[in-house]
Amino acid sequence: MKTHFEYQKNSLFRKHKLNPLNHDFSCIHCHLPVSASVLISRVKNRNHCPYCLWSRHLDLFEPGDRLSACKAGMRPIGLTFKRERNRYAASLGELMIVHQCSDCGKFSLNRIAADDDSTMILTVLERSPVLTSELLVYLKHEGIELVFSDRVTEVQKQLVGDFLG
Amino acid sequence: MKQTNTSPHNQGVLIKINPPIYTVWEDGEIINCTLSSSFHSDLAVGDKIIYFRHSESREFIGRLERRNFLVRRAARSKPSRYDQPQFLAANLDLLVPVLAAREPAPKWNWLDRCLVSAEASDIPVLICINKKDQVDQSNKNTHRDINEVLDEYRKVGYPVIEISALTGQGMENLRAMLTGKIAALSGQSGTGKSSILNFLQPALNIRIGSVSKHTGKGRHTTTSSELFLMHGGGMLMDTPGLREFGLWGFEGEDLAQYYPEMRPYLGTCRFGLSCRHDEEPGCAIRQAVTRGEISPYRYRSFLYLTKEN
Repeated sequence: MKTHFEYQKNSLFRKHKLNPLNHDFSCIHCHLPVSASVLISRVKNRNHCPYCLWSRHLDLFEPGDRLSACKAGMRPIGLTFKRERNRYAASLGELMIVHQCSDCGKFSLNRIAADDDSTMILTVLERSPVLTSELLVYLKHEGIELVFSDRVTEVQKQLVGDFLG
Repeated sequence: MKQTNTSPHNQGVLIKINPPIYTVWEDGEIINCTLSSSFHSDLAVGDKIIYFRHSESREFIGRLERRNFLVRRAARSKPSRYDQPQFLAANLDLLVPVLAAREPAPKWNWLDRCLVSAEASDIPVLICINKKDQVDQSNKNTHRDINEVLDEYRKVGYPVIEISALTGQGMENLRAMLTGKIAALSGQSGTGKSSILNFLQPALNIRIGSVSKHTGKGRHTTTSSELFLMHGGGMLMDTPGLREFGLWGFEGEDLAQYYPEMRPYLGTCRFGLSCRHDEEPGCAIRQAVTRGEISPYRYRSFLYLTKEN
């Protein structure tokens, strides 16, 4: 039987109307603690680690629905520009990270968060060419066109702005 | 001076609680009782009680053991108050959670909580979707198609009835399902519980309200539970709208047994009965969700309740 103190502790979720399924977590890959606070990441649904960029397969139909039961790690395999152009962005769409589930193989696109490691994002860009041609064809069929090292300037511009010239 | 009892004690069913008056039904007679000062218990409408007939007043002194009961975590009057149980109904043959098809928008998480509570007390459930006429008038619905959701519950094994207390659609089927049973209508405010009772037994003439145009929610017209005797046999309970249905007395790890579709998989996980069905490798329930045998929405609701309790 629970004590009253335990009931009070659990009522924290209710008091602050927090979604208990969307909370701080430890990265599934590098095990570093990650904050899901929107004040830090500036994204509503924090799925990926800002240090190693690995994500988790949590969403099923739409971002943030938390309906997937797979829950396996998702490897960052490359970068892409979102098809729909951001109203406030430059000519290109928003830069997104492409993840692939290490268990079921599903792909997902994730927004880059404010606290993501830019160096790691560029590393993912450099590693993209090692992907197999079958995977690249499959991604293209899914409507995801990966960005390669030849467009590194555009990626850098999205990450740090164009003040460097 | 000790008072002597002039008549033997009687048994009745508590049909209304309106302290300090407790209304009891016994063989067609409705009796108003007071609570004995020596009797302290959480009473619920539907309780079978023992009372004494004094010359002037009647007071009851005991409650018989409940066959089953519906309980929730009581809303706290102050944040600093301890959580307490609130017994909503007792000795039920059927629980009828009532949801509105469109307004107020159905809260499926609320329904899952209600179903878990009913499963824990072995109360049979009939899911009732009222205001079916609203869906016909407008295709604008909540973000999930109501028919798809209801099919998920039917697949689990819960009977579902779609009615309209306004047009009378499906009401005769509902009447047939309720006849001869002690049933309780439960639901959020504004789902039409009192309207259903008024349709089934117009002579009751219970006060009903309308949904607020500004908030789309009910106005909490019914303020206390009451058990009504039905003409065709049986009793039907009208309850006040429940905005929240906090589970009471559950341990997070035990919740899977109250989800009928998860029961066949219990104990078959890699970690056996110790599995929490969340992130454990080799979890049979997660695999069943991935295969489509368990609804991902029900699984998410299970996880939500597990983490809350």
